[in-house]
Amino acid sequence: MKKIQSFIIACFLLVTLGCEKILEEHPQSQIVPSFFTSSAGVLGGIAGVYNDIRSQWGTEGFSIEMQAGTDEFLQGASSGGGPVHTYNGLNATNFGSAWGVAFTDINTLNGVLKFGQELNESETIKKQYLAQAKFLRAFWYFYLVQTWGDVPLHTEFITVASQSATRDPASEVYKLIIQDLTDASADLPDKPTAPFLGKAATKPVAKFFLAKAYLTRGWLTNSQADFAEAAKISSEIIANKGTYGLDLWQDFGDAYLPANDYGKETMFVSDHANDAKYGYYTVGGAASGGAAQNLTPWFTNWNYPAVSGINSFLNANGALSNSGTAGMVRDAFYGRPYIRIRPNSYKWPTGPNAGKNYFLDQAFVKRDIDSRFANTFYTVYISNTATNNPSTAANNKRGIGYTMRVGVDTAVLFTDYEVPGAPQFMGTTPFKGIIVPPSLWKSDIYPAVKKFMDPTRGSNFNDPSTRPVVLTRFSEVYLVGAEAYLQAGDKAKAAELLNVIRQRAAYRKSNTADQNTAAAEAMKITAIDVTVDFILDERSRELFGEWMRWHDLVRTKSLVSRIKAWNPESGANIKDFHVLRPIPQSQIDRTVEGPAFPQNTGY
Amino acid sequence: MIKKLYLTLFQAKTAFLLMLLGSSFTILAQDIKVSGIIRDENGDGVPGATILVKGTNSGTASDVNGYYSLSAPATGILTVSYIGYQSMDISINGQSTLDITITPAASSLDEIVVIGYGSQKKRDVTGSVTSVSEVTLKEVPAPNILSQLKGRAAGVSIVSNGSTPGSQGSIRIRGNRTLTTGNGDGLDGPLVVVDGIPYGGLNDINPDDIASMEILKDASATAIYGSRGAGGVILITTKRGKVGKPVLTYDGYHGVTDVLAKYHVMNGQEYAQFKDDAAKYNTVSPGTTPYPLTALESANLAAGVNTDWQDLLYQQGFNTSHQLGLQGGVENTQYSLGLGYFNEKGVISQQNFDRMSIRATLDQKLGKSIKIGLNTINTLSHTNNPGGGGVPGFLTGLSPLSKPYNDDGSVNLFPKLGSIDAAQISPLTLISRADDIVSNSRSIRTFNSLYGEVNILDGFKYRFNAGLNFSQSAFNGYGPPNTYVNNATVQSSSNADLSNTEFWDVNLQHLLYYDKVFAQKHKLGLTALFEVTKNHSLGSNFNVKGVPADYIQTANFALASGAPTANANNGNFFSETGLLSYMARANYSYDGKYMITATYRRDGSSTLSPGNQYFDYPAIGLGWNVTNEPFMKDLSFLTNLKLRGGWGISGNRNVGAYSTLGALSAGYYNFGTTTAGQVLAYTVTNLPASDLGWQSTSQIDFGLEIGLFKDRITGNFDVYHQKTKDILLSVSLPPSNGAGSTLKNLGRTEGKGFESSVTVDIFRNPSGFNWSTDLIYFYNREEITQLTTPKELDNKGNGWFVGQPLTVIYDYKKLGNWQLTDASDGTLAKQTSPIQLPGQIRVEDVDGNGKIDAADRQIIGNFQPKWEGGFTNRISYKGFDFSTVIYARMGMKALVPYLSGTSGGGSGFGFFNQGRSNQYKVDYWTNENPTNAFPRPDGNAGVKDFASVNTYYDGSFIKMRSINLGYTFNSKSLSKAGISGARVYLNATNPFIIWAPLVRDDLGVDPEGNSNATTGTVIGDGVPTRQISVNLNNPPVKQITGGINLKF
Repeated sequence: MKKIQSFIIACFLLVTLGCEKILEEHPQSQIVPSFFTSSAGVLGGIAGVYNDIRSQWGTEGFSIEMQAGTDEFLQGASSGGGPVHTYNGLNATNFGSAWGVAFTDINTLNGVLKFGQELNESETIKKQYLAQAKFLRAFWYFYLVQTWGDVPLHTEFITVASQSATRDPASEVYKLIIQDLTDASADLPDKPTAPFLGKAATKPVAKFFLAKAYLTRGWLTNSQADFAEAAKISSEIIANKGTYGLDLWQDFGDAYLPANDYGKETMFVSDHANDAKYGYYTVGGAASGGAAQNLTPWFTNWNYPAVSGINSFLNANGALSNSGTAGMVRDAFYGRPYIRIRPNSYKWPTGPNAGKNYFLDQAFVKRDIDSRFANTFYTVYISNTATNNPSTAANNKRGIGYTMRVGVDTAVLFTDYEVPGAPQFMGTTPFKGIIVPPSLWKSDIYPAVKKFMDPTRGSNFNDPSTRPVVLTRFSEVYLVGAEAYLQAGDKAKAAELLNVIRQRAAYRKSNTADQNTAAAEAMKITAIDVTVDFILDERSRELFGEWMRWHDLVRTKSLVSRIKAWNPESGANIKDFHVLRPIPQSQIDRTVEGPAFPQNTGY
Repeated sequence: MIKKLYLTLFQAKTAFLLMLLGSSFTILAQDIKVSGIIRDENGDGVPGATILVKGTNSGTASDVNGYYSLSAPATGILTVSYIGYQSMDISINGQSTLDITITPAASSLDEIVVIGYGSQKKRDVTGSVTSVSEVTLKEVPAPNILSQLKGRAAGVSIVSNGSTPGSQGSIRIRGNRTLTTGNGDGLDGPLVVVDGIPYGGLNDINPDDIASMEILKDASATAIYGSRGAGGVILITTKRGKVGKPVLTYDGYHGVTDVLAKYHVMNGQEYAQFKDDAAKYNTVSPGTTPYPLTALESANLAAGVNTDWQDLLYQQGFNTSHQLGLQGGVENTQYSLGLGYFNEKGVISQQNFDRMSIRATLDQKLGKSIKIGLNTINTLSHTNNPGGGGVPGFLTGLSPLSKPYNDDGSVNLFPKLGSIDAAQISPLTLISRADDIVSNSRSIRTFNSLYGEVNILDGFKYRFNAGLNFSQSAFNGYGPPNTYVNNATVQSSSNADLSNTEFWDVNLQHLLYYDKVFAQKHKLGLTALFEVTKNHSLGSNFNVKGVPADYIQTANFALASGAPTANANNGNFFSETGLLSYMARANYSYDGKYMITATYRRDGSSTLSPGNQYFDYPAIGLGWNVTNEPFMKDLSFLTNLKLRGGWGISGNRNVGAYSTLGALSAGYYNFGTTTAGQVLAYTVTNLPASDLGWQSTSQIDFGLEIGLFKDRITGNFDVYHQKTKDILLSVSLPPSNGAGSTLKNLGRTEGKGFESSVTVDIFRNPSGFNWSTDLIYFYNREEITQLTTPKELDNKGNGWFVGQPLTVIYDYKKLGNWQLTDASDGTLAKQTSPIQLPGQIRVEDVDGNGKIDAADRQIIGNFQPKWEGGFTNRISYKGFDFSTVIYARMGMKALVPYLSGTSGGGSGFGFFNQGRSNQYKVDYWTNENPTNAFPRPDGNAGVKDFASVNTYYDGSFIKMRSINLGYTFNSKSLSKAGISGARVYLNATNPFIIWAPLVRDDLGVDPEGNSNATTGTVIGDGVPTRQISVNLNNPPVKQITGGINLKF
């Protein structure tokens, strides 16, 4: 009985001991906000923003938003349709994936700026952290204000939840952007410095964005002072390129070699890595969307493993009809066929551009001397499968049977001129593969952009690319400078800057020195050639498919006119109000305190 | 409060000590041996009747022939009880032979009903309590209780979560109360208590271990569980030993299963036509399609190939169950042992579930006043789920024009060869590579409860309950390349996955009971409780690429070529929560006529911030047994009429651990490509919410219990009204404020409902034909009454609308398809945005401005049934018994994602109507077929605009749940073989669907749903979580079972 009594007393003690402690919380498996006040937290906050930038630039939805519905691109067969291409039904529910990310980052950066002042670190480190934060805050606000106009302006760290939100005038937003970038360009180092290695923000990057912000505000407010400032800063960057470790490659193509991704012409990137953790990369992981995957190489790939039928023929309507065994199989060199967007090669039957298409007749019109066409697009697909084509195969009109030699024969040839006898004959000569001249290009067969390709994928050719996404190239400093000088009234200086990149584009390693000299001379322009449209064409040639076309067109007030002039899919739908994007519906729906959050006009 | 309890306990201990001293000197009265036979009204011996010496715990049970024998004081009284019969007191008066005839109970009101922290006679219960017997549960042979409970208890709603072996349903008692959740049964689900100790889920309970189940529904009954009671409480009593000879039981069944129906996809001809149509109606490049028939498909079409992929993959499955039980006991010691085995083989290769369980109970008396006992339930289960539940989603998308096997009989690995999806690998590899693919969860759970009970004084009792619960589950997954589960073609891309989750809880309860009858008419019961609960959870999850050989599987990560990585988003966690509780309850009844129950509970939780941690839960219940009033004596047809009513407050622990603290989202970044640039990354995504408090639900319930004509007709009716306030809302913030959401106690909801269950004994003849019917009908109406502020009438981002149910569909309203006539008469042109074409989906332009945008969305339905019900018929004649169970859920929407184009993956056909893959055979629009059902195919984009509107469908159904035919052998003929009871039965479970619009219209196989979506698959705009969705998952199965119950 005594035992039982002891047992009961023991039970009783078991319960009463530590009663108070039972209601205490000790989180172990999550990062709580107090961590943010530490040095690792502040650095992590900056890295978090870079990681978010990586979650947008190079991913599918965002990349399409930045380039679809412009003069450069039409829909590919697997575009999934969508108002962002056509402006047909573009509204608050189908646009704006980066809106929330941008503001999460801005709040995080405001936290970095708040806690970063008080860190127990050297002044040098604190200065660098704060300068990074200011640069990034300006970077996101610059994206926001260009995309949506007036947006909520936050410079304080928000720690108390609020359901109200208001829009601040774009002029205020630009003030903050210019102040932040001015501060950042004073404090950031000339070249990437640990821990911000690779091609993170540096002094020239901040200066470049400052120039572009002045330029953009100049266009918005018609301010000569802003244009002059933009021009001045651009020239300063170019003048100090040695200090900054920046320069142009002699060959345009070298700027896009994977080996040169972090080279002298690359200013600012979002990094990707072949690392499971820091690069979110898994071997054979394909890409199911998800975090931070660089899918850029694939967006413009046509459906080459499926519609490269070796006996494709012209149907009764004169259109290309796929037939026979595919001449190509999917591989790492040519990349995964996403078929989302394609170069705008629509040939206008009538109107001011009758008989022309933007791709060949406006942008890449000097393909003979300008190396940029050949360096940007795949026009030849070399056989990668030994396709056998008996003479008796259906639709084989060549009258011969043969087997394609892997690595030798051309399976698909895109010519930039019309070819009689295409697709199976060059004139009257049978062609082993198929020839696809511009008149036969359509939504699933067209030249793909090659400059982003990542052949290191090997057998895991469905994996995302681990090349960095380059947001700023040194060549763009010349283009921004030229635009600023043009707007500031100095066409001669604009032409001088443009000639630097144009004459560089004339260089080909395969040419003789004389040929290169002649080509460079032929590329030269003079002050009278410089117009806004010319600069926009030049930007297409230099930076085709690099996440800025829509903003370029909006900045230069050319969106509506150039779309109407060149884009058959959206020309009928584009309206003046489309120069601002629709505010995401979630922002409007969730603003339930205070005044309603206004939508942009027209939506 | 603690002090007070110390004092009480101190007093109790003193009293206990005194009593112990006293008891050792007590001289026992002279015992004699008494024996005899217990007979029923027909004179047959009654096996298993309980014979107790009144006022003691000593007693025995009658044997197979009704014979009993025990020692008792010569002057004592024997109490004989047997279920369904009146309990009788017989004075011994020195007789050594006592044959006793028992009479059927006039009513079942003397049955003991388990309520929280105790039990009561049914007649004294004031709360709304539904009892479900073992017999009822067993009418549906199923692996888990949730499957058995469907349509069997009023107010209990169960939604399926899938048909893969081992999958569970979601259960709601009296609907939902919480806005932000979908999280399984976590917030709005019931508290499950097994033998007095919280169990934490119904997953591992072996249905065969259950002796009875009580479901507490209204707040006056659940408030004693305080912060965990709002979702209702399920009290499970497991089988325990009884005094008497050891009884060995065996229950076993084996059932074969087949898919209820196949998904109706296009055949080869139809598929080819469909691709042509997709090209013809291509909106961007008419006449072309990026997904033409491949050369191989064209050849196969000509050759007449028409593959039915579902036929090739689905197999016949089975369910088998073997349960051994042993129960027995002597006067001071009772025991029970159970050994169970259940095995389910699914309809897809290697998908199976098995569970082994071992259970033991021991009840031991020490001296006259102390009783201790132990219950240990141990289960080990394995779930294999290669390919998961979504295999049919892939299967149905495969081309019927593709050959499944090569000429040599091997599996054609790439059935989509030549198409854009060429890399996808045949699901037949689930069969051909069955040994290499691993997807196995092993779960072990040990649930132990121990009690000690001391009778301190007459009617004054102290009880200590301790519960120790541990569960662990380990997942092993291996995906070899060149299989359905891993499309990669190289061994370096093989992937292996290991995860481990553990939960362990400690629950300690100190209880004091005082029960006394004063002056014969005043019956008083008092209960006091102090309780501590601590829950822990821990999880880890790692995966690796590049396992060098398939046979290694998950056995050695170190051999893999890749580096193991921890899953950042899932599977790695640790949390601890604590709960401190005090409770007091008083029951009083006067003369069996008037009853009152008052309870008070106070809970403190660690998950809230200091200052907000405690909350009080009061409740009161009243009852009136009208039939006991003198003025009712003349109404002899009315055997029972009881009115009861109650009010109470209960809550749910809806604040997860650490959620008041705020959090940063963790990520990673590499500056450059070298390791020097690798930095951990954070963004601020969750703001702290230090002022969070408790959500509470107050509920009023009125109940009526009725018995007519000697209880030939009995009925239970309840109406209730519950109001929930301070609902923890994950308030979505305007994204411009940085953090996406924060938690606040803001919302209010209400629920009203009616529940009825009626049992009618149509024929009652114990030796002849019996027919009884149970009819259950109930509904619940949920409504949001307030969002974050009284001014906020809706939160469209979350799909919340004041005045509407908690889950509504907020989207465009489908009018049909645009027709050619709309184009010719100018109607189509009036819609300026988006510009559409004939054959595309037409939705209502609510504001009539010619633009379809967010402003044109409207509430177009919800997932709340208009009513639910069950209809059970039991017929018996001689040894035969026959029963049927029908189950209905009526008048709500189901979400059918595969009928749209926006969902991909396992839940539906990506690229619906695009002609990229095969799909459900729907009535799609063409120039020649101007239907309004489904839009035109479009080789460019499939159905792009407003695709979601085709996914909302009437989800009503009436299902035949179970048909049973049994035969019980005559016990006399069996007794020679040593068998005291035997029954054999045949059963058909889910044999057919009686009525369902989705099935009638040939757009699905079962509207019951296979996902009560826990994660927000938001389709269209603002369909929040909690939708009942019908996905292309494993089809439900029908089962034919043969079984036997033996008793030795």
